[in-house]
Amino acid sequence: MQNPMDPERWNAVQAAFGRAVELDRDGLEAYLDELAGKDQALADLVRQMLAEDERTARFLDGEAGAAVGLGPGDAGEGRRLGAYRLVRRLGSGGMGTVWLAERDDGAYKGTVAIKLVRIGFESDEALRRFKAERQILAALQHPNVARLLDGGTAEDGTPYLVMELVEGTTLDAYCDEHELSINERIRLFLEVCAAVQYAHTRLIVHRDLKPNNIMVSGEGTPKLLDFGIAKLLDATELGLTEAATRTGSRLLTPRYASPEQIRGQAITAATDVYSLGVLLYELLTGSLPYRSSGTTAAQIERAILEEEPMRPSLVVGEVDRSGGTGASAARMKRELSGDLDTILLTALRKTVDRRYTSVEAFARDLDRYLRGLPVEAQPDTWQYRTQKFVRRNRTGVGLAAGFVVLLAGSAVALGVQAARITRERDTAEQERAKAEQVSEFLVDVFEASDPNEAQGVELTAGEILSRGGARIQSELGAQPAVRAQVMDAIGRVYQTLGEYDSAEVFFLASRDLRIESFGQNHADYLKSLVHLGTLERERGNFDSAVVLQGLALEGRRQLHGERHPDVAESLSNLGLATRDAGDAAAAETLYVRSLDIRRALSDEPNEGLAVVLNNLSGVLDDRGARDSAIAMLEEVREIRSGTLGEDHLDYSIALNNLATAHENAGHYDLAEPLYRQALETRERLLSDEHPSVLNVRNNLGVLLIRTGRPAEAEPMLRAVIEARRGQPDKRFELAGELNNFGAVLVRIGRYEEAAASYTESLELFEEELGSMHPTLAYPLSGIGLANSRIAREDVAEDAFRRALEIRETALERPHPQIAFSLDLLGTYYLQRQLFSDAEPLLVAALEMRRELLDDDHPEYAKSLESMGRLWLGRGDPASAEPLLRDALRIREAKLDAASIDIAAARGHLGRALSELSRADEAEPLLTQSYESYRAALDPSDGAVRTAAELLATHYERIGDEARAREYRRAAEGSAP
Amino acid sequence: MNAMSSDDPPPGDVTQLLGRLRDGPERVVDELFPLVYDELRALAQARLRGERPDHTLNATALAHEAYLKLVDQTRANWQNRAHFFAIAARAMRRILVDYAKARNAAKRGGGAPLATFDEASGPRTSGPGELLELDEALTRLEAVAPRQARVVEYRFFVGLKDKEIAEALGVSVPTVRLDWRTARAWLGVALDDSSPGR
Repeated sequence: MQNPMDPERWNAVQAAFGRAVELDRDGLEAYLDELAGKDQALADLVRQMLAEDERTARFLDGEAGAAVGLGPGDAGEGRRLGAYRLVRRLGSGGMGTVWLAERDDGAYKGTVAIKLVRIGFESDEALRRFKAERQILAALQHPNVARLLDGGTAEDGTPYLVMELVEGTTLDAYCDEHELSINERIRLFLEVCAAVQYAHTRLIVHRDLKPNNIMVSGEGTPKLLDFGIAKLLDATELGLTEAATRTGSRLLTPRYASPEQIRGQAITAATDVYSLGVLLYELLTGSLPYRSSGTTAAQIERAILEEEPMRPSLVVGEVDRSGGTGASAARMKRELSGDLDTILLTALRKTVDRRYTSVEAFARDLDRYLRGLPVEAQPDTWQYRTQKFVRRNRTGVGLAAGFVVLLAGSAVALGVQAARITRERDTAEQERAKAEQVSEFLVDVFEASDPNEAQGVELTAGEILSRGGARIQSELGAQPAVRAQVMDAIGRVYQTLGEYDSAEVFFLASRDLRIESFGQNHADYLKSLVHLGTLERERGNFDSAVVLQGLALEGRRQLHGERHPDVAESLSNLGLATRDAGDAAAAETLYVRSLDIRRALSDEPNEGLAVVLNNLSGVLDDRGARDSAIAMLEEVREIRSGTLGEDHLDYSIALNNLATAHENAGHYDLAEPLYRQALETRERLLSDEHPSVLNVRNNLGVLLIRTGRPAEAEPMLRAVIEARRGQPDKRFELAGELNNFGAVLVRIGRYEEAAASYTESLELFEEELGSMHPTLAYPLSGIGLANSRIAREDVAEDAFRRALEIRETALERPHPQIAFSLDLLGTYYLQRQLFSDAEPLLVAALEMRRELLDDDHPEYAKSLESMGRLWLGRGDPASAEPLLRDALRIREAKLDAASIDIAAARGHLGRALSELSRADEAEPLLTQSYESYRAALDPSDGAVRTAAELLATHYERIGDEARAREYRRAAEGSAP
Repeated sequence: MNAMSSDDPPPGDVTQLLGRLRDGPERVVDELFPLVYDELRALAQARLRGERPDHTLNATALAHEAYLKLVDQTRANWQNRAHFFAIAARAMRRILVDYAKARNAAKRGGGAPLATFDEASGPRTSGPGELLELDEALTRLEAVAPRQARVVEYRFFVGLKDKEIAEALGVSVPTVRLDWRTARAWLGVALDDSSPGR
């Protein structure tokens, strides 16, 4: 020690040091100067201590402030290691300390980096890993990978590595210092990818890619450092134990770690894809992918596991709002949105198999992007994102696709299942109609401005912007509010066209212009948030939508107070996003508040009121408040009829939703004209295969099945499916429609085709929803039905059972779908004469339906019929008769006269009456039943034959041998 | 805390001894130290002689194990716990230094290392020589700043938290923090001065 130390001296040292650590840099220098004036030795000591303090501070701030890192191992300047002399500490990594060192044996002059194993790491395991690293590194020879030059063991046993010294700056700093453009950053990044890909071909995964591990030399060459925790994919070769692999994860930098690393799952090349994704994300946007990342390791890890990354183009907006120049920020956003968003989000997907399969694939897409070619990555579909949500909230979420499942009884009985029909919701904007007209006009103007533009050629957003931009600038340059308005309007046109990326470009440009002109405390800016939120919702980014709509709501409350149409609108928008994000109860509260404000503000009917009524009705209908829902939708229709006229898409939404509510309530006669009118409007206003047109056709097709008109439904649904196959985003809808089509096919006796259609539906649903989602029960039931008709008993029973099991697991009793599956399995047992197996199922179904449904609901009729058949089977036609009579009465009132459900009920009732020796009543019923079946189905169909058999039995019973023989022949397969 | 019941404690009952700390800490520490030391050493040796020769020795875990073994949990409270670990820290230091010496000797004789430390929770020492240097420097610190040396000991050898150290030493938490920081920086300088090449 330089100075004699005693307790008094110590107190002076501690006082001076304690003061020094509180000071900032300038204050510190002044203080130390002052101190040096009085006591040079003390000042020197404090300065030295500060240097030590800084060097070891990272240990103090480490895990739980544990006493780590204290010790002499960090010292060592001038220390010799083999032919090298340590010059200066460069830093420390996960495994050790890195020194700048010079070759010192006269044979060769040069500077290198030397990495020493950190003190306390000298376990056998660490040694093994260290040696492994040496072998790995030695095997890597690539211009973008820092070379391993040498290695050895110091006198005290500390192993070290001698590596190529990479002078330069870290990748992120380099990009910023050189103000690289997006494309330049991508090009540099591609060189990094090449190096990683090279390592992957040698089965080496880096596992700790981050900006600090990538240096860029003065010549602009990136080099990867520190394969310190890389492990050979084939670990056995190096004798790396599983323990070593696992321990490695503790050394990770969590910000760049992949979900599988955090979970401790298998590490593959996809892990590097993920980390590279984070790296590029940060290079391009200036921030990390997760909104809530930043504080503790646990929070970061949770975000990585659970949070969806923010869309990069949105993040640039967030970041540059405060900082960068407005123009370049807007440009960056434009560049990022679209393909780059898709590429980055693909690299960052949480499941390995949804990510790019290799760094090469990732790099290839970036290259394609640079060359202006279409990229291979596909954006996450609405369905995929919804599906994940649905999986988390199995019972709470309604799915917006329509499908129906047939209910089978005996060979002759068919019923219809109430299924959810596509319900559409209003878009949030009150002024969409107006805005559309404005926007379309503007688009026309742009097109007209270029005489070379062929009519009908679609323009890209960029073309419109660049072409229209000049004109907007020259004509509206002095009016930023109008300019922003125009861009916003164009955005909405694109949104209406379903071109969301283009819509976003304009919305963001408009938003930035508004911030620039008016700041964030302005109604126009809040409007931009609303539009972005609506867009996010439509894209299926429900969490982002909730955030954006919530921000807009708060802003509007501050601006206007609570009682204001804008606040009411935002409450409704937030409700919509919240509902889609899965919280129907919260959504209902928001809607009700919005509705209260609307009603308090004005007695006049207005679109804002219509929107919130429509939204609220959806939540009410879902939870079974059918009458309130219908009343609200009637009001919506009335309002829109007055304010928009009947020739308007929003009016057709009102019609469609009202029809659905009526259909769910069993009011088929009211539903049909509403669907037809909605369809007619849409066919006129939209293209023939527009998704919205297909939705209504599907809905109408379902209604036709339900009311017993499969022959009409068949061509309609077939066409829907054909068109839908051309809409890759709509696989979920397609799955529902295939299911419905299966139902049609069963009803017209095309069982093999039906089974195929149901099976395809099931596969699509399984892809979208996993294997235990209650929706799967629909096609499963269909598979059961179709197979039971072609005597594949085992397949049928399995399918029925699985459907019931899924519903019992996912849904809560009593539930109409559980009742449906109980009845289905029960009637299947009936058919096989297993009455005691059938009875408890059928009774449970009947009781559930009695509790849940009106007593003239066709599904209730189905349970009555099943019970009647049970009595018949047990030889008690007297008990069966009233049940079957009720079932027939309900069906005759609700269904088309030609429906085979009516034929089925007549057949059963006729049989009961025949057995009760009431031949006069029985004969017409049995005859009608047989004729209806024959009209609907192929003569060889089992149902037709069963109906003939019933007639034959009846004639035998009354002694009419000739007719009995005739129908017996029919029952055997040939028409009389 | 009025510690004692009127009955005399059975000899060697650590819980009861701890209960008396408020009344005369130094004496109790003297009584306790051998108990704790023996227990820790036994635990460490058992660990190191175990079937896995490469087993790492985690000082903090050892101290906890000793604590659980020696102290009747139903009668202990957290102040007792802090005092126990304070004692354990001193015991652990001595045990580790003994190991380091043995290891140094073994090394000279070409033997295998005896003990290493879990990287996250124990002291990180890369070699026995360095631990001995630290021990020396700590002894020098003890002479001029005994409290600060205690802080380092408690924190470094058994991973005691600031609050526990504060309780054991009867000072405030900020004092503990400044003590730790100053002592650590000073030790850093002291060790640098004694490292080769200077």
